Amino acid sequence: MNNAPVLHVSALTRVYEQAENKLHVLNGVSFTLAAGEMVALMGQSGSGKSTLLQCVGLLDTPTSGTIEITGRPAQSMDDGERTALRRESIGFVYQAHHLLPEFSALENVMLPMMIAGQSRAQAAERAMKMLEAMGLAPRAEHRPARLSGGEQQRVSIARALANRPKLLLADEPTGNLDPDTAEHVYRMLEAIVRKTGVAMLMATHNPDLAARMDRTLRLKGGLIT
Amino acid sequence: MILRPAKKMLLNSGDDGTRFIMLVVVMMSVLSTLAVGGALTLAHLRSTWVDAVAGHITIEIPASDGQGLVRSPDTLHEKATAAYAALSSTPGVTRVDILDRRDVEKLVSPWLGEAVSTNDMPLPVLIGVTLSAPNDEALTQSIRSKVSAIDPPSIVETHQSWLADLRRFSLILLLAAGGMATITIACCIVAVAGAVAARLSEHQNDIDLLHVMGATDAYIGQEFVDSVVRSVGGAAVIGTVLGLIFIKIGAAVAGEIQNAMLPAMAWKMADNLWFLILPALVTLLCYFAARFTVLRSLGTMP
Repeated sequence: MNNAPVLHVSALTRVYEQAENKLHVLNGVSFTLAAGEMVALMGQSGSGKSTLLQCVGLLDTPTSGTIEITGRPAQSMDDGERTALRRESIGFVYQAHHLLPEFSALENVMLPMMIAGQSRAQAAERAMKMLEAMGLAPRAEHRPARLSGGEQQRVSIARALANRPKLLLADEPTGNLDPDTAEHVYRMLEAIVRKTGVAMLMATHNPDLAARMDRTLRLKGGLIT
Repeated sequence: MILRPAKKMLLNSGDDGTRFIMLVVVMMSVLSTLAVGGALTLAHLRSTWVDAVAGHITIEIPASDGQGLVRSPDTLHEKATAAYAALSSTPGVTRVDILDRRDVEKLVSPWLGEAVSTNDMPLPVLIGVTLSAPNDEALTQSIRSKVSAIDPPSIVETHQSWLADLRRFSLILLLAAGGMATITIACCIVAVAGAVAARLSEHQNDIDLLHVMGATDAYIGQEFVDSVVRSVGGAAVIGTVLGLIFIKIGAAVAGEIQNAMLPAMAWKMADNLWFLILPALVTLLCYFAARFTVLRSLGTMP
């Protein structure tokens, strides 16, 4: 395993202000994620798991603290640079598949690559290879509505990995799936992490799943305990 | 396979909302084309009418003298001949025509009716004068002096009052046609901006997803705007072509009326440029409206 730090989070806080009230969701979260590492993020509902993933994924701006992705400090970047860093280095897998319903499976996987500036032909070639690797080649031209839940989630994993990210953020990726399909998707994610060396932070409520990962971060009261 | 995110999200050709907005653009473009066509026709008629009148003077040698005594045909003929000679030799006068009695009878007969015979009626002599320069005041004054010297009661009519009314009236019609074209285009722009805003709102989750994938507001905005330009541009061209077909049909139907009552309607070659400019203008304005709407909406999204 390559131990180069992919993600370094230090003293991260996130406070939401609602009228005169302040909601402290994250109160100084610090941790590091190495390449090829699978880390579970556990905590009760409302503990701040999704907020932490949003901040680490550069989709939300923390109130204070630092986030470094592949050694690049995100807090000093402007919006455009953060967007570029997200595009190049981070992949997301959600509990719901979040596929664009009007696009085929292939087009959904092509999208991030085209946004990153690849030609349509290049994107289509790589997207098809990824779908083949996921066992979805025969379903490439199907729209999400015609795919099963497990197939949809595999398409969203392929999309998350399309730009060869260094960091994969997964928010309950198996939460909506039946046990067999969930196991299949988890094994696929594990294989990808081990094979590609991408670092994965996965929010989950499933302690059995967390126990199979390299380590577990528990979030409580806005802190890693 | 097509992969234009915004095209599918914003203006999917199979979508009812998109078909509706395209239909609106087509209809608005037809109306704009008709309004522009009307304005061009009016401008042409106005120019034709003004040119026909502006360079002409009509001289009336009254049938009676200043004291109300009816003049003899010989006296009128003598005065008219003298005026003809004087005017023909005047520099700046290109043509002088004395209307014969039958032409004058034709002119007055609509007012007198068929029951009234003009055979024994004293009628004035009318002389038409064509000038080389329509607004030459010095020449007009010279003609007044010469005519007055020959026959003091004679009237020199330059048609200025009628011309001023014609100019005012045609200008009002022109402004109305231009205003109609402007309002129609404005409605088109508002409709497109509204459709874009509605689609953005409808697809907010998809846009959030594009943001997650690293798409910038500029990228998403450009995709949306490109799709607007393609779809609206096509609809505007179709609308303009349909409008021109309607104008052509209208011109064919009105052909006999034109021959009877109006000067021939014919656009200049340069006028046709308006029908190239119109769809381009509609598309360009819709582009800016869509771009403004998209970027403003994206800016307010979390």
